[in-house]
Amino acid sequence: MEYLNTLLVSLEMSESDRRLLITLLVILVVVLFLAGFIGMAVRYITNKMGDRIESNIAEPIKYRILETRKSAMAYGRKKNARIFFKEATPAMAAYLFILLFWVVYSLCTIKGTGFMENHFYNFGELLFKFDTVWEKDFAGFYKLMSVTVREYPNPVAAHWASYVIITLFIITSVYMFVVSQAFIARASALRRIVDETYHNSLKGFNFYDETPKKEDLDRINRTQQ
Amino acid sequence: MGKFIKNFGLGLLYFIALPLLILGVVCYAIYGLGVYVFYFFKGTIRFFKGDTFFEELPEDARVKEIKRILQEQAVNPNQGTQTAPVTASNNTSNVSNQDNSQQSTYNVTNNYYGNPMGANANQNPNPAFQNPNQRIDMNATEVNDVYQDRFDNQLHEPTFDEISMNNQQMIGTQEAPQIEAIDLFGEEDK
Repeated sequence: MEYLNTLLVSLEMSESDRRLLITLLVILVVVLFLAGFIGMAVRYITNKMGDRIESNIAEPIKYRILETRKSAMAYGRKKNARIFFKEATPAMAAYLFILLFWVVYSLCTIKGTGFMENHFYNFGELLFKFDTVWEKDFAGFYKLMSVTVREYPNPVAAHWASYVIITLFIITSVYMFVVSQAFIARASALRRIVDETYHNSLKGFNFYDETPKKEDLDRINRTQQ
Repeated sequence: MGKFIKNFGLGLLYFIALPLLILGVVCYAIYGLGVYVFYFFKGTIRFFKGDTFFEELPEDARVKEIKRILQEQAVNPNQGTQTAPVTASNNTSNVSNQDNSQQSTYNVTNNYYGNPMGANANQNPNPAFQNPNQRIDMNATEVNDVYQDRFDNQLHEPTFDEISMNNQQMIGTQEAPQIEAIDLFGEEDK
């Protein structure tokens, strides 16, 4: 009982510890929520893109133009690449625009110093920056003791080009990520669909079953009539 | 509550798998970039040659042809026999109407048995000749079969089985191929 009391005492937390714990829990929930959201988005894109590639290859398969699994896969891959090309074109155009923007901006600066600018660092001025203090506890684990805001967002007018370039770059990269994920989703869906469509099944077949089936007998009877 | 826990678990799983997912997507994005560059240059060359950016796939051309035939049949059912044949133009869709001299009429039987011979095996195999205005209904698969037949007839080389079958039918006739016996073991010398 005395040991239990000791344990209870040791679990007591100060007000700052409690706040820190709550903050960590909130951060954990937010991170898990974000991961879950990304996972849901991936699943949504996978389903949608599966439908898309299916509708693209449906007609040649239904009309029996694609007679083998190999030809269906080849056709599907070509279609998938073309869809990817069409979807990725805006992203590529955006990347090209960003590149041109960066070159023109850098050439317009005095003595071309724009080429030496760290645009990512400049973009960091728009974000919060934190200071963390870690301490080693008696068990050897590092414990987060405090989190304080070091810098608040502080935009500088002279760095407007960095903000434009990096914002566009992030948006384009996210779009490209989604397009690439859709590319993968279509490729995997294509494989699944083709495997199902060209699956030569032995279900219901028995090598030693010599009993004629009803529909075969009906057909023979009709032929003889 | 169960759903919440399931979602929570999935979130945890996604969180753990997220780096792998991102790595996989980035790898595929690099591959996609290669595909993009390849299609870009290929399409650009085609474009400046005066063609379309993407070439029309042969399969798509055939789907278009089948659809056109089906549409014509639906609009003008009496011309079913005239529009049904499709020349094996291999990617071109405008030859079939011009090349009437080479067109032949196909007997596509739409019967219950799903077999062109089926229950009508003893009848005239080509009823279209008896009544040229008779409508011949074909579904898309059958149209494709017609297309495939013509395609095969023009481009198809006979397989070993087909040659063998023909040879078997010709046994005993003068047309049968004469095969010289090869004396492998020197039997004749003995």
